[in-house]
Amino acid sequence: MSKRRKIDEYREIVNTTKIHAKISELIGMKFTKIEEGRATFELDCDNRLFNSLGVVQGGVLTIMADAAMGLAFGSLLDADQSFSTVELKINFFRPVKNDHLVAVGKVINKTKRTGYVEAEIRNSNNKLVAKAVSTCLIIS
Amino acid sequence: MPIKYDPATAHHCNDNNIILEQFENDKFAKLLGAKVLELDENTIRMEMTLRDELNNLFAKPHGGVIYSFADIAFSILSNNRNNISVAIDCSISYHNAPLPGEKLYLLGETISISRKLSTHLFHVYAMREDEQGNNMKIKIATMKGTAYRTGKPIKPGPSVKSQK
Repeated sequence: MSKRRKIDEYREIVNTTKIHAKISELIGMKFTKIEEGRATFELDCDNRLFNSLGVVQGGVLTIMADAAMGLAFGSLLDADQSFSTVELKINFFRPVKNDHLVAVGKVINKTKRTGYVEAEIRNSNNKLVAKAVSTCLIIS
Repeated sequence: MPIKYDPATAHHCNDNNIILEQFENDKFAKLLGAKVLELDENTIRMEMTLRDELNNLFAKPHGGVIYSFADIAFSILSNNRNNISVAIDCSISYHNAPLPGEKLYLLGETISISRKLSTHLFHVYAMREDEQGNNMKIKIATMKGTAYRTGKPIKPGPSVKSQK
């Protein structure tokens, strides 16, 4: 019997559309696609997510990017392995208001202990609104 | 002298109070439950409790939430001179995992400021007790952010173009 992998759990989440994380429920983010080394999250932004300047807070974009990068990396691990994000950098290119966002996380490099992952977030016009990179560490 | 934040008295016309009044409209900060404890021209102190709703898939506090906490402080500290500033670059390092339900604290400072850019550093930490009951400060994350200063005032007032 082949070893169970994290991507199997992730596929179940995507296929059943069950709420997988409370933070997703809080902000309305959906986990919509998973492939080997690649994960997609989507979010319809509303004014609950705005900062005092009336645009979506950078932290919301980072939550999306972090989730997409984390699960893209997790998709390459065995079910009994765990990991942690040790560093994350994000650049913001465009302000976002009431819009539909898609974040795609992609693993660029994976070693036995670490992973280098990046994410792009695009708006409904397919314009890049933010780009992030992170380093993940396999704990077990 | 730092301002002890009190929304009831945050109506005086200085630049710190302008941004604190703005902060009252920060819906996402309210959603997360982030609170300002102290603010002066170059430093900020905040706190936030990690409620269950802020957990990730693994029932642990989401890394993006820790980032958001620091980003809220970043938006206040970079906008506290009545000069609208927008984040252009942020990076965060995670040092220790926070515990679900734990209260986080933040200390932020302005490292440098010029006419067009400002750079800020934020330390997020938790207070825990060791086996002897002594308080320990646990580093959770450090975030560095750079903001572009637009030169436009949040509220009409003296020109902010050359203001540092």
